[in-house]
Amino acid sequence: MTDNESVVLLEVNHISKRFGATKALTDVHFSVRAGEIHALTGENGAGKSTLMKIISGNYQPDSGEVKVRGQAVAFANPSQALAAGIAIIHQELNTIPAMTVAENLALGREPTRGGILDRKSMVVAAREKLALVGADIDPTMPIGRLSVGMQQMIEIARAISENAQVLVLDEPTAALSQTESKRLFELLNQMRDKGIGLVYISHRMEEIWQLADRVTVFRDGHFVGTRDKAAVDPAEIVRMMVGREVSDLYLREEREPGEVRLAVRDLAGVPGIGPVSFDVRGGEVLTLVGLIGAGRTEIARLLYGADVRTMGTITLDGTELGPRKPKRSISDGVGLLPESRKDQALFPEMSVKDNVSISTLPRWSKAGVLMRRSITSLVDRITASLQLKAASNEVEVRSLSGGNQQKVVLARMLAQQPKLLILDEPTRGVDIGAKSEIYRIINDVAATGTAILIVSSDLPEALGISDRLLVIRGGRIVADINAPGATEEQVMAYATGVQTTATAA
Amino acid sequence: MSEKTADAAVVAVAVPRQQTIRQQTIQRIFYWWDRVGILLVLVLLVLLMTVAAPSFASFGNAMNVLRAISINAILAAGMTLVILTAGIDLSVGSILAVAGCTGVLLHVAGMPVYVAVIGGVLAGALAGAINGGFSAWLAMPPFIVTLGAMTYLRGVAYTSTGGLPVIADDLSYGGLGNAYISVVPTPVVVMLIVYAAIWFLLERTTFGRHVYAVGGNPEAARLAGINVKRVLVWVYTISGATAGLGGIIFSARVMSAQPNGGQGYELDAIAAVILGGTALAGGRGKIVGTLIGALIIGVLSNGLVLMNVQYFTQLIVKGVVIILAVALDSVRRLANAS
Repeated sequence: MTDNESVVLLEVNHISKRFGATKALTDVHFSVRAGEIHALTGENGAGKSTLMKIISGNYQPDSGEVKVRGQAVAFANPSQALAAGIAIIHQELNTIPAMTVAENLALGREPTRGGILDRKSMVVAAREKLALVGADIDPTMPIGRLSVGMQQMIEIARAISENAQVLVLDEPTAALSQTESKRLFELLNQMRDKGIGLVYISHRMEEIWQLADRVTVFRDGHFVGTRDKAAVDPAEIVRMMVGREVSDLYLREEREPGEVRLAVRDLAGVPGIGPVSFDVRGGEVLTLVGLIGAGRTEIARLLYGADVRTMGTITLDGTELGPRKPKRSISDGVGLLPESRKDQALFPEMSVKDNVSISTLPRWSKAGVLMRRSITSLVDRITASLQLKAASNEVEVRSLSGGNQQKVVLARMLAQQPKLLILDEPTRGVDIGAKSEIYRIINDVAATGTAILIVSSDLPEALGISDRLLVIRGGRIVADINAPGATEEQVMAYATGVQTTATAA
Repeated sequence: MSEKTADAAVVAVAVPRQQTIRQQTIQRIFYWWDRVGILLVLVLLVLLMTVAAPSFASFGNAMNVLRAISINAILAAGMTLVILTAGIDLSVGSILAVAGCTGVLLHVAGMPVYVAVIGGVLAGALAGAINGGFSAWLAMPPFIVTLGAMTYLRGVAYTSTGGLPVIADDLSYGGLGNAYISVVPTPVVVMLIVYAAIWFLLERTTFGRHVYAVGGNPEAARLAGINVKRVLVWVYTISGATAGLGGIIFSARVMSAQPNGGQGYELDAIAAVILGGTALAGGRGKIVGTLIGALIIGVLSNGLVLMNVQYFTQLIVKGVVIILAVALDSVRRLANAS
């Protein structure tokens, strides 16, 4: 080990951060040395991104210290962090698509000559910066025409040209092709050899294994441990990521799944997704699990007709469902609770009653005129059975809590009386109390013989409430596991690609 | 020393609580403002005018005000639907001219009045359907589509009459604009029927709920099985039809086809809708609010005239009132966001 390698460029100690009642980080540690790639990993919601935002000055920690080269610092904003040599490459790139590469690279510090923009020296400077990352790109190209991988390289070039000593990359390969990923890895190795400290945030085990010198694992906002790669194996990392107790929050009543209701064969549509084939029985709860970006939501949306299916067949109760839009799906008995309540499901300024009845109004109207009494009694009955807490069914849903808003969307699903109910992240952003109530509702609906397909990023939840799990990776089913008796380690091994041979349990 | 620390702790706790109470108060004010605020403005304005202009408070003048606002109010009724879907219709002034010309030309060509009326309204509806088609199916910004329509339809109106007004020489055509039903001017009755119809459409039909849903959250509306594009086409078609009806009344009042008529009316209609509390961002608003908004503009104009305020000054007052009303909407949104 040379002297250079042992220099600690960035160090955080005892960092804690709360958002309201949620503890995002509790007493975590992390450090990066010159000339190393340090992977930061953990499940979805482990606190990786929060830590990154603290390091970059986007958030202020509640307690703890951040040190750069041994000096305690407190960044008020990202530009202060950058001035201290810490640059972040975000998942969403900060480029302006319509501007050229050179303009993007010069953004905020455009060279001028007598107050007039000096385009020539801007292009020359851009060439020099691009050379730093060995990228052969025409600086006069609009940046929006380049691939995401190219744009990422340009962002790295910008960071390096501003003398960044520490480079933090947040899930950098999420939107890259394999060749682009390979090229990125080469570049990162070069940066390491130049003595730059790299923080690589990812939950993709193969990449971590390929790149990292050290690995740190977070879980539920806590620091689990830092290991030298030489002294650890992938299975142990996975254990560190998941090792926690399954509480009795989850509810899975004894039930006998009935006949196959939904049969999916060779389903595909969105690029990189499928083909997938699977069945769901009546009264069965099947959950699609996997990492964020694995393609679970896309599969759910294809089933519902939210996106266009290009291949495969969907059969529900023996009837083949042809090409469709959501309207058709609802009348055929397919319901989708979308991933994002706020963006895809709620009408915040409409009443609870309107929100619950909106997708089934044609059933409750005569010649387009609403049968108001029927609607009111239907909505009252459903919201009462879900124990919705609202002053009345006339209040605007934006005044309700997250959990009650989710119940409103669930109530809409129940009003549709679906044969197949697809729930995409049914408990995201709701408190524990509402979670357990939602689990009860799922059980009750399953008991009526409805086929239930869930997408969940909450692994303990998926294990606790489902009958069966399908592990999705790279848009395909990599494992079909019976949920009772399965472990998080098992699922994560498939989800991260440590375990690749699918053996149905 | 220890007392001081204790005080500081109390302050630290008390400050956020005070803020929430203040926020609650602000929210409560906006809650009531949403419901009665704009009506309150109208009432105050009427009281003000009654005091300031002695001839203001009379049945005859009230009918004058109502008749004067009827055309703008009818345009604004259709505009309300469009703005509820987060759209805008800049073409209503030009549609008014096209429909007026259509009506008069049909009548001059020997058609009975009712055919002329239906022809004018249908011409407006057709123009609106084309607007809606481009906005919905090609996902073009309605601002651009209806801006273009505003120009080409004005051209159509001029072309249809050769650029000159055409006089409807038969007095029967003027009835819709100048006659009375009992003591109420016919245009006022038409206006009230339009508002009743659109109120029913918005509050009592599937279509009405779908309009609010599309304006409130188009992606959620699509996933809830609503045919968003069809709703949009219909909304612009209705706006075209109401503008067409406004055009018929306009041409009946002046007993002629005026190809340059209705210029700038789109802005008055939009002003009435916004004054009435409908959010430009879509999804929130009431048709009754629009009627009140149109009344505020009408009372303001009428009162200022009675007070012998110069026309130039009237423009200044009207413009300031509109900006203040929209500012109020923004303040409310900011208060909600925090």
